[in-house]
Amino acid sequence: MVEQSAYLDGIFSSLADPIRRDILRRLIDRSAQYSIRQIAAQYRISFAAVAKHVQVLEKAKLIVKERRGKEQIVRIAPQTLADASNYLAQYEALWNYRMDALENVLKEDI
Amino acid sequence: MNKATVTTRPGEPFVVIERDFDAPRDKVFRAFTEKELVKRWWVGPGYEVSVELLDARDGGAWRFVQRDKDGKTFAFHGSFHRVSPELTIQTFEFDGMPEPGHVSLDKMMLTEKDGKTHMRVESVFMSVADRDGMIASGMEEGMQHTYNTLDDVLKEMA
Repeated sequence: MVEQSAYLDGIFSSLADPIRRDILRRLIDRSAQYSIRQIAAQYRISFAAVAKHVQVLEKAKLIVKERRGKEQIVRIAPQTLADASNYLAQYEALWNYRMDALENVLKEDI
Repeated sequence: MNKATVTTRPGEPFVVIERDFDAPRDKVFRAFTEKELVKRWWVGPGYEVSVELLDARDGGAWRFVQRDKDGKTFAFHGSFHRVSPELTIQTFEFDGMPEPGHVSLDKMMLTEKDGKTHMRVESVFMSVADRDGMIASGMEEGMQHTYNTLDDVLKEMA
């Protein structure tokens, strides 16, 4: 249970950053494979900063990194995103919470 | 019990939220457009809301501030393009984003049948990333709710 929560926390805190979401968006096509250098070329921030974002995504298991020759190649780990999307149900839960509160207001003679 | 459904499609910057209410449309519409009523339901697990501005008319504006148990605040604002029970179009922006300007356009339609009201809200985001960010933040809140529930259970066990 604790491990499961840590896994999800990792996914959500990774997705909470606009640059990391953007990196992930570039990798969303399963056949997409980029080196960290190629990804870094797309941003104004430093190579080191991009490498750090990539590391966060890797730690969250959202992407996998492998060494190919001199370069590190990254690609998406689709299962993790699939796990995260199951948590759309959580977003729905928030709306249910709010709409149930609204329904209680409507029950009254307002 | 009526339930809200949230529909999204991968790669598209849209969210659709639907819900039925056992109340006539005029009543539902009032609950969305009157300050004192909105304040009572625009809440979430563990936080309340103060409705600082709600001028629900064509060209009007709104601003809500949520406050959690630790006193942390989250502000949201937008403008009303068109307001009527049949069709309300408004903008929505969370002021806590790292850079401003991530706005969604919300279209709400209320239809009444046999004294019951169906609500359909269609939101269009500026990008898929914005849409996913909104869902991720909602998920965090949902998870927070789960954690809070767990806390309550643990307190009962102690």
